[in-house]
Amino acid sequence: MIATLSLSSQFLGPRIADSRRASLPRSPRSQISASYAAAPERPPPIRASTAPSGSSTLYDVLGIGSGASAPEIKAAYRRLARACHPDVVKGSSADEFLRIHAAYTTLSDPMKRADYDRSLAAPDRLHRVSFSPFYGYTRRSWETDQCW
Amino acid sequence: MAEQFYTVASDSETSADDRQQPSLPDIAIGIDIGTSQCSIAVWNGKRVELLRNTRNQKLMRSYVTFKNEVPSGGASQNLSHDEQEILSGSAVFNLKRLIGRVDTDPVVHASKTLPFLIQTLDIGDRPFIAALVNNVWRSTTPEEVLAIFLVELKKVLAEVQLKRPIRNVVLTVPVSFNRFQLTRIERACAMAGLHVMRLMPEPTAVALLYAQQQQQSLHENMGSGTEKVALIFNMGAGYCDVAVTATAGGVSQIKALSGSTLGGEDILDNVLRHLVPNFYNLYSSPSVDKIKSMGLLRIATQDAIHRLSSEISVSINVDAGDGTKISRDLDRSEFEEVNRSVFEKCERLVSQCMLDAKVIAEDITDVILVGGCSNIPKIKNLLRVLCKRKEVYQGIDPLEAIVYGAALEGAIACGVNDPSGSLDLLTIQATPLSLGIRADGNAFAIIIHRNIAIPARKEMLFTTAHDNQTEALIMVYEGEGKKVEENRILGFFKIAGIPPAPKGSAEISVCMDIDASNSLRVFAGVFSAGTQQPLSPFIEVRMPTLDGGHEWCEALIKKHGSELDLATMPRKLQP
Repeated sequence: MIATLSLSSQFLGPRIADSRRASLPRSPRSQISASYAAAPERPPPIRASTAPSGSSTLYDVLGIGSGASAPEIKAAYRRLARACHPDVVKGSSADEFLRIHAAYTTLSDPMKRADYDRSLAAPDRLHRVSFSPFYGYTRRSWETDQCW
Repeated sequence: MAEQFYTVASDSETSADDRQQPSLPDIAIGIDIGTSQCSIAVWNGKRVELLRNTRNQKLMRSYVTFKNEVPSGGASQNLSHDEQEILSGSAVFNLKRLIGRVDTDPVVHASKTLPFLIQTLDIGDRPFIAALVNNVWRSTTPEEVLAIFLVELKKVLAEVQLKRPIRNVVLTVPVSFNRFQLTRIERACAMAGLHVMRLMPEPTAVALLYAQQQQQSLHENMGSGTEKVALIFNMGAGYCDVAVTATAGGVSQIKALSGSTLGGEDILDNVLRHLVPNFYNLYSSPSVDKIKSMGLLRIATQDAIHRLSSEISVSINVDAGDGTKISRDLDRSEFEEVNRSVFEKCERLVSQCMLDAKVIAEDITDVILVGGCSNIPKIKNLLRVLCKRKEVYQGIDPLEAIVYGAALEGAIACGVNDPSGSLDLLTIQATPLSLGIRADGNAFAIIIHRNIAIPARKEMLFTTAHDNQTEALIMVYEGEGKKVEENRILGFFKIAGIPPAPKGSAEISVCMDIDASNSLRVFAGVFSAGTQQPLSPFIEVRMPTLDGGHEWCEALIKKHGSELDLATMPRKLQP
């Protein structure tokens, strides 16, 4: 992904909106208003070729059904972490793990999950893919990264 | 900047070793550098093995003595310094409490009663540290002392015993270490020719060992694979750490971490001041003739504290030779009263960690106590009460668990595969401290909160504080204080090219990224309102960049006032 990105897609990578929403300490209500308010602010996203499918839900990210129980969500998260965590897949980008972790953060919290389920029912939302200019930006690791 | 790592063995020796041991690549060794004691361990192909020095010690005293021309440390196989010699002024120790601290730090000031020279000028610079060599105070630094000690561990212990050059290490660090302190540890390792693969918070190394044990008992007993929540309490000579971990299927999720500079040294200090009320005045930055007296008092007091773990009352009889004499009994209740503030702080750390992890006592499967202070009856009792149980976890050695976990992480990080599956483990680490920038005056705007899973990436929108402001300063801090001055500054840089506009309308996006090896990058850029188009190339900075402390902030404010200030965007506009 890194080498093939065009200049513009370096700045316009994809991201799951909920990854940010879910981890900020907000009340459930303000989360909803945040996404409502933010939606008209941004123009329609330009999708990079590597973007995850816009139709994928957080349940799809974890590979579970929308009726999954809390232990099933945890088990799916752990299974995927074992497969995608950068510590396991050497030299891999953290993006895949970040996506899985964001989905897990939302779905493992009953309040956030209820909000998310409601937002799924209302289709005119940016709840699936939004964009961060920094997402997918090339990660480098130099030996000189260690302090000299 | 392209310094070479040096290895001791020649190239030909290296390749010969490689041929002999094709199955064991350069597996990272685990090192637990304690304030008082240190240990080293490695995955030997089947299990973790702790290395012993020629005195058959697995736990070695952490100190470096400058008595002779060649400094030597506690790991050395030839020399055996007794405690009184270590306290004679020629040795520097407790460096884990000194490394990466400035001379305004209360911990540095409290360390001034140690029997070597620590001078402070209270200006936010590094303290002056020196050892007594032939009646001369020879200056050194915590990094240098740690590097000398690490070279000894590397050469004398590891390379001789493992018959291969050592390059990669996993080191354990206190939870409360900030990123600046971590760079100082990395610096010391680089000086010793070691490459740091991971700096692991100490209780997370124990969590890894616990996860391995749970996996093994699962295989053996065919038990249920349900999630087990463990509370890990680690208290050594210098630091106290708490972690809550949730473990299932070999995956250990660190739910929360808390830590403080609190340990056996504080307990020793409290007791010394209790027994000798004018101790600080008598022995702070001691003269040469006072050092011996101070050493005698330290040894006698330490011994009494150790004995109080198994006895209800002990007697202390010591003549320091300078007119100070102690001849009295000290009982356990008096000891506990003298150290009440230490134990209260321990309780707060445990409660905070449970709160952050969103667990209550009933959720916890096991309570694990490690570190030298875990032997103190009051500490054991405190954990039993807080976690509502009769007994603590018995499956691990409280003094060896950390280095064992570090060696496991070393093997895992090097991609070693164990056919029996005992290395099929993963620790999902969490951020021990919050990260953010200065905004809205002197407020600390947190971008990545503490106890967020690593790797992590978060973004936040900021805006200008003044009309037609074209430049803004991004000042990055780490800590838990609400005001920036209560936190540690990691670095700063300027964003330019903001289009002139009324205040509050420009969009300045700041993104923080922590990768799996815990390195932090800060990105910032200006965007035209409501779009994703950056107005100019954004800036990427690897943090920390600063060597010093807050004096830079004062210089910045003096020079620029508030003209480069930032304000946070209202919540509803945040991404």
